[in-house]
Amino acid sequence: MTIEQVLLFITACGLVGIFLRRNLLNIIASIIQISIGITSLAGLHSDNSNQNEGIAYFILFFIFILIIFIYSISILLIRRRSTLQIHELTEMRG
Amino acid sequence: MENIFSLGSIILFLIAALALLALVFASPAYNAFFLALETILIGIYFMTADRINNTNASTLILLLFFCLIILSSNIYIEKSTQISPSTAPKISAIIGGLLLTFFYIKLSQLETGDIIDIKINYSFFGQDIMAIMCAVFTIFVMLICALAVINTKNIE
Repeated sequence: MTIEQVLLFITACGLVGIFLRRNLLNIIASIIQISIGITSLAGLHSDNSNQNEGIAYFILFFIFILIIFIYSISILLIRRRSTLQIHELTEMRG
Repeated sequence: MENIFSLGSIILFLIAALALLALVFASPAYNAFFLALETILIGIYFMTADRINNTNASTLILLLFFCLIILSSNIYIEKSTQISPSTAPKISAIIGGLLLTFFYIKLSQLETGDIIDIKINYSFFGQDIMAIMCAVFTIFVMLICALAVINTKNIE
């Protein structure tokens, strides 16, 4: 296998993983896997000019914002679920 | 035989195996750990093959930091919420094995050498990056504001 094949395989695994998983934390890991494949391919096939770093950092910035957003959703869901559990416990105790 | 057991081939095989494990494993902390190892191995391969440059090195280091942050956050969330990881789904293993077979056998037949020699000139995107970043940041602020409103309504 060449490095291009391996990086394409990493990207494909990440894309498949997004659709196979139902857990938000696993989806974050799949997004990171896609970004590893894409940025490595972009760095591998870039010529040596100053503009190349901009697009790579832009991809990473976009991924970072996406990860923070998914984390905020997951923490909100966890808080809402724990709040419900506390209410249920309070009602059970009377 | 010498080509198969060379250092580069072993590292590439390990990278592919880690990608497959990250697809198959159900625990998010294990996934982040596999991705961190994968990033380190990609950097090692670039160093051994003399294909490393400023863009590769800096982005791989940033991605490694991302993986470590996600690893620690996932461990914290898993332990604090008592999420018990379910067993690895069989469909992930089957699809991952099929993907690996396809990329190992079929893609090498389709590869003509022209794909490897492509050099992308990213200067076409240079002027638009700042506008896209501002737009993405605006969308991010809007989403966070929407989440804050939902959270406030939920508390009330």
